[in-house]
Amino acid sequence: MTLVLESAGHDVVCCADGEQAIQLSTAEHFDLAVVDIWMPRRSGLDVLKALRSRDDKIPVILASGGGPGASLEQATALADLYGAAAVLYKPVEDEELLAAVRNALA
Amino acid sequence: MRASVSLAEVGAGVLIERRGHMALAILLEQAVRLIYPERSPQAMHPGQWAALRYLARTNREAATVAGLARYLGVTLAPASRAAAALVRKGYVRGEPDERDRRVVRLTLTADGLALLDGDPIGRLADAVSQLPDDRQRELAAILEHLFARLSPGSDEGHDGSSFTLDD
Repeated sequence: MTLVLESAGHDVVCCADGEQAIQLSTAEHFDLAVVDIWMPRRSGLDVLKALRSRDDKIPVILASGGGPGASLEQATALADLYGAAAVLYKPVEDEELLAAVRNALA
Repeated sequence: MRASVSLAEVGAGVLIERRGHMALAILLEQAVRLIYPERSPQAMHPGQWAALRYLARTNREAATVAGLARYLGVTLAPASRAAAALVRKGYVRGEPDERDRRVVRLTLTADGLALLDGDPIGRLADAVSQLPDDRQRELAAILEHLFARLSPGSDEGHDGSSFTLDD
């Protein structure tokens, strides 16, 4: 995803997990977040909720191919509930990712 | 049948004990069953509706039985049965992938797309929309609480691999 976004001209900062993403988002401003739903330590939904809980309206795109503990349908509903800009299902096509980013930044 | 006095009006009279908890659980289940009243073999099942919703929003690469299984949180067999039922009903088309003939790509037909316009879950969404905003937020919090406790492995604590559904 990083390569696809960088090749389209975006500056990308990668995080190892959701906890790092939450910490980084408090220290720096980003135009957009693209996160996996299932990640180590804190999930993509946790990242989305953390941003929304401090009234950060940064667009968040979530991507997933499923994971343990809940169905992707349930995770998608929660992502919609917390105002995700888009939910992408893996395997994510390059053009689909770029279109979602364009829509979210429009 | 319509209750002449609503639960909200009863207020403190609602049983906060096991019998009341069971009653609330049954009412919750009944609310969902009311969305899908048709029970005939030809009827669309909730899982089939969920499959149509998935195919309407997913990309071509993920529109497979395996992708559907991950979305529904089931094994391949029930996902395959749901897909086959939708193909029989003419709402979904299944075609072998050009690069890998073992993979079947699923796409909604025009009839499937048209059927989604009358998705019965819209009735529940409409009912929710009639609640004041603060009650909708309460409902979201209640549902998160329920899912966090009912999802597989939820009683084992957060191990860092699955997401938390509430704080």
